[in-house]
Amino acid sequence: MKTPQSYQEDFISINNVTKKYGDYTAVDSVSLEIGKGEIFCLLGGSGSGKSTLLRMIAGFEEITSGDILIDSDSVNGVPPNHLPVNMMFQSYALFPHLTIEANVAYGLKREGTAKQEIKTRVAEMLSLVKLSEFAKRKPDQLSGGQRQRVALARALVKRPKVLLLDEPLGALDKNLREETQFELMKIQKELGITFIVVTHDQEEAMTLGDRIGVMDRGRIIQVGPPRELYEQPNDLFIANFLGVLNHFKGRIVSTSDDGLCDIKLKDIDMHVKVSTELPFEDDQPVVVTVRPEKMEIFSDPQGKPGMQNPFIGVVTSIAYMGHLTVYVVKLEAGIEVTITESNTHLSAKADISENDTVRVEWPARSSNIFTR
Amino acid sequence: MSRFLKISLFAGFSFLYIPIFILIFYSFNASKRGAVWGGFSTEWYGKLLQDQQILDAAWISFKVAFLSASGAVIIGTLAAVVLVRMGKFRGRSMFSGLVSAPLVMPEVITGISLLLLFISFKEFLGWPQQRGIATIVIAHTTFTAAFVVLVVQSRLYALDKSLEEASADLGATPFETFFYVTVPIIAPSLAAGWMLAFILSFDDLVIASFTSGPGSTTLPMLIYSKVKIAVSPDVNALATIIVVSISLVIAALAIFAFKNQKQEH
Repeated sequence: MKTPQSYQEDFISINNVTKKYGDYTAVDSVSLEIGKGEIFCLLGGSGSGKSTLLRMIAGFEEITSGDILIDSDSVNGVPPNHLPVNMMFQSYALFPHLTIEANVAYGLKREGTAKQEIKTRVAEMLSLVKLSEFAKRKPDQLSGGQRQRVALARALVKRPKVLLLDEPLGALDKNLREETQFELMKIQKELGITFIVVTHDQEEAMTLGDRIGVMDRGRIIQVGPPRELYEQPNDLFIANFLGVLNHFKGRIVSTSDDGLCDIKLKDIDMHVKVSTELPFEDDQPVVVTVRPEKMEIFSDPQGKPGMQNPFIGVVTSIAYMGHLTVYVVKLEAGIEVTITESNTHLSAKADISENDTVRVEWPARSSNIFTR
Repeated sequence: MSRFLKISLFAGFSFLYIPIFILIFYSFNASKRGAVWGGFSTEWYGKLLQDQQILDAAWISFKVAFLSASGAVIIGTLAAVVLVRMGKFRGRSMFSGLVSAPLVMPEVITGISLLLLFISFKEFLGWPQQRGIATIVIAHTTFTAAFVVLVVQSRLYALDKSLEEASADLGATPFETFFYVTVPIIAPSLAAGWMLAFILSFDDLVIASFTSGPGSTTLPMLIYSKVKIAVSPDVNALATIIVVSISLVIAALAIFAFKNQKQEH
């Protein structure tokens, strides 16, 4: 895995960019630095401003205020046909009247590239995306996955400094999606082109992205590598957005010198322990979050607890999903938690069934704590 | 299908097509008097082909329809692109209203206003010296362009905007995008608009009457002047030929549109 430090850090620099439509602010003072050769994912729900930001980089939307520099050149006021970026559209936007070959050649023809060179480069691209034998077909004679690859080839053939991808896998079904993700990453590493990917799918962002910028209501909330966002989100919104969470609302009772907080939950007789490096005051209202996979379930309720947070509960439902099993357990204090267990070997935890009394545990350092 | 629907269907078709069938029927009438059946004959069709006056008028109508349909497609397409792609601009709704005004304007008024226009042009610019094919073409272009706008506009609204964006993104100028992407994709609607304009122009009597001059009698004008005296069987034969050829054009159009639709999905 590449480390973000190895990039030329300010290859693309977005400085305090705002986009307004009348009174509505679609993108609100966003600043970002994206490195050369990086896959950067803009992750957010609909209306978060991620697509608007992408379209400003592509030159399709005017910037209301601020500036975007690509390799030190401003995109401000430059029409899209003069920018060194190419875009892969969500709908792929393949030209229906042209063959696959002509679709890929379109950008080179507009540049006035010599005929022979166009031929070689188109053939090269088509073989890169494994579509050489489809060169003479029209887009409507291809499957969704093949069309996606044509769109990729067409956008890459001009060797842009940056490739913008708008929901690149959104139109594909699940199996194809996973396969395509890795294919996309392989091609990117091969060509070394900077990718900026817009997506609403957190799994996609985490798989593809070297770094992710999470957007909400026009603002960037946190930027970082996937692991950092998932394990140390600086905001409850991000924690929620990146996956299923168990929440515990409560107040700090005490904090020991080594950073172990004792938290009394709101309205119920239950304490949880969290280790944190952040300073918290006593009696401060907080939300504690624990990812389902950080919790562990044991069939023996009377066993000796091995972690700081042991609780007894009753299994209310089990969903076996193959690679993992999801348990919902109602703890004695009345609160429900979701736990996932990897099925690391055949018949793992097969002795647990619904209505069983079980022991749930998680370590103090596996939870996050947010002020509220 | 219920009985009611069957009867409705039958009644509807009868209402629309019985007059036309009667016309076709009488075009094969051997009798010279319109309403009396004198046996089957194709002599009127033969006479038609020898009537230089009718052939001249048909040729004029064809030229006028061809030229004005072509002009209308160019002007109408540009107007449609402006309306669909330019977004909001000052005077947009006025422009869109003005573009479609000829659709609802009584033809007599369109005819008179164009006549006045040509007269005042002659007064101030010295052109046109006399009205003829050129003035009819201009007049027909004006009123058929409105129909082309409608046809092309609806196709443009359905066109995925990202296709044009993709073209720009790949380095095409707006001009190149229009000719290499937009026009080829909307070509079927351009063809449909052209044929519609052609038929409208070919059919038109009122506006042509106002804007024509000596030596530019169109086919509808000639037919009208003939039936003012009496409905003669040769007019029936002529009308039959027109009906059949227009039906063929429309059938071709429908097949074309159907094939195109199949290709798109």
